[in-house]
Amino acid sequence: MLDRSCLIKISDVVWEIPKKYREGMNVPARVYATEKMLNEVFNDRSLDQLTNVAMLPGILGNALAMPDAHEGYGFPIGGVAATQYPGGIISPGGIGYDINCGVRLLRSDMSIEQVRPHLASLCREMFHWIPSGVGRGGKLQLEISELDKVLSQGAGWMLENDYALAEDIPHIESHGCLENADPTCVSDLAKKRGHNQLGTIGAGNHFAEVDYVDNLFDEKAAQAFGLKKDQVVILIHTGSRGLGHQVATDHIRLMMKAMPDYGINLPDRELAGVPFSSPEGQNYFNAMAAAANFAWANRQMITWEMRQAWQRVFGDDSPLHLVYDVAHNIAKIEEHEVDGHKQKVIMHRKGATRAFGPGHPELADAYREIGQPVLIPGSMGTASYVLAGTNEGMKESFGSCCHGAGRRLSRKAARQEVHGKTLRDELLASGIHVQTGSVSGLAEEAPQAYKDVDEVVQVVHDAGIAKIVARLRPCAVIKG
Amino acid sequence: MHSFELIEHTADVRLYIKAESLPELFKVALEGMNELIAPGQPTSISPALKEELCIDSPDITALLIDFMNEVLAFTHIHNALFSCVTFDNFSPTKLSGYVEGCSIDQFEEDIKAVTYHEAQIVHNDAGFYETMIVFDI
Repeated sequence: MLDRSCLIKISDVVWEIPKKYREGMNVPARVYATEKMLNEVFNDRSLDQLTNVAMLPGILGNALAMPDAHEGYGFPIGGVAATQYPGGIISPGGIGYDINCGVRLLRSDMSIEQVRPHLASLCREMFHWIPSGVGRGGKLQLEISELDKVLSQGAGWMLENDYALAEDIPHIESHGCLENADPTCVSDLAKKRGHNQLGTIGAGNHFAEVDYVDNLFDEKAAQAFGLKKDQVVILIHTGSRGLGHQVATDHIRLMMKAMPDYGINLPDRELAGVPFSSPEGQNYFNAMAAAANFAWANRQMITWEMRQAWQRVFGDDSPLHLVYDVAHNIAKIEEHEVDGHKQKVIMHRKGATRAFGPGHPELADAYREIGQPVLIPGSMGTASYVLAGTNEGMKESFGSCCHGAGRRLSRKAARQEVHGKTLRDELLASGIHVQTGSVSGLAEEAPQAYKDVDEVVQVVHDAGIAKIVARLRPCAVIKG
Repeated sequence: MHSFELIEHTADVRLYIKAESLPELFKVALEGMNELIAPGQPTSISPALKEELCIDSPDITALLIDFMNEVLAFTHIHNALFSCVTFDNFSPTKLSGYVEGCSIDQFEEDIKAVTYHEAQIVHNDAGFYETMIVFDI
């Protein structure tokens, strides 16, 4: 069992588990955390899981755990790994079941003082327009042939069908479409689970939230992102819904059968992986891309619904512009420097956000000088953050950083500590309106259930892998 | 005799199950999953929906997880709870049969998937088959 004595201190916020710690590790593992946070990390098995990741065939650099890391299955949540391209393996366990779960930030041109008197009605309109909860379908009920187009085109399908603005597309990671997506690699079960779920939030920790910019830490970056003090913004957090969950389930099952054929034996079944260039590896990569496109289309449809809700309250002359949309459960082919050489790698991010630094060619013109906007949602009632990617992050963490506050209490423990209705009343008393389909589900997402998001983002800032730009405070939340 | 117990996990939910036979273990796994999805829902209501099962897997543990994931998919597709399972054939690597269930109004928990993490069916000294199952919530 790992303990504090196994870790080598690299800096105040970076710790290393050396390769020699465990037979079979191909690279060292690194953890981003303060000394105080490390104590919480040892409460679960996230670091043992990280050493499993370091055993993946073809892994490069370091296996990484972000400061919001907690126990998952296969990879820890908050895990990052690059494997050799094209000779390394691809592991669905390094992406997760909610493929392209991610966050989107919209900015308004109104201040919190202008919006505050209308928060209750805005919250009601949002709850009306944006379906949430388990089993609630969306406005779009697509035939399979049309769903296949969504899986191929992602956010582009939404633009073609007037659910997006042309200005939205460059402000989405990968422009909201992975071109290798292949709908024929997605099962009928997955398509049946997803055909009516576009534009829906789902349940768990997913939400749509009205926030205001409470503090600016980097004026120049904030200006580039279109953010100013007291401005009202919207955060949307959801993913590929049942379609993505089924894609992961289907392909993990297929890979487990295929692994012995490739001589791959890993310490956790959920790390299931096969050579990237094998038929099973390519089928998964292309199905995962289709699910990722579905997720971008989903967040785009929710954006359309949010714009409808906003206009009902504030009129047609008050636009909502997309600042950025980032994935935090995904695999992609990216170019990074490894051992002093630029090379293509298979990037796995599971509960970790892409954070490209200044100058990266994929970034929209407005952000190229500053770095990619990085969106870190906190828990209800606390704060969320906007950060910017850095060149140091490109070198140290494959252009990756944390994705949220990270859970610290189980759902049951949260329900025992917090009563949902009391929490809703307390949040309202502090100026935060909540609409939810499940009051007990609300308790599971109470602020007490999460780590301190201020501390988490300070770690990535101090490590230099992203820089803090702005802090957001919530004022209205809808949840499933 | 068979039983299940829902156990804490930092982000998700664990289910411990035990039963005297493997087919019983599969049935109690389904019972436990349904208790998480919609606690307290009656299981004696007339089944109105039926879905065929035909699953093969590398080993008995994988067969259990694959079985549960297949029923979970039907649960989400039909917004229904499948509480009754009949096996026509059952071996350690293959099963066939069908599940029956009926629509429900509300789900309490959104299970994304049943994972292979921590799952390992063993036959314990007391003569029971048992395993832990972790759900991705």
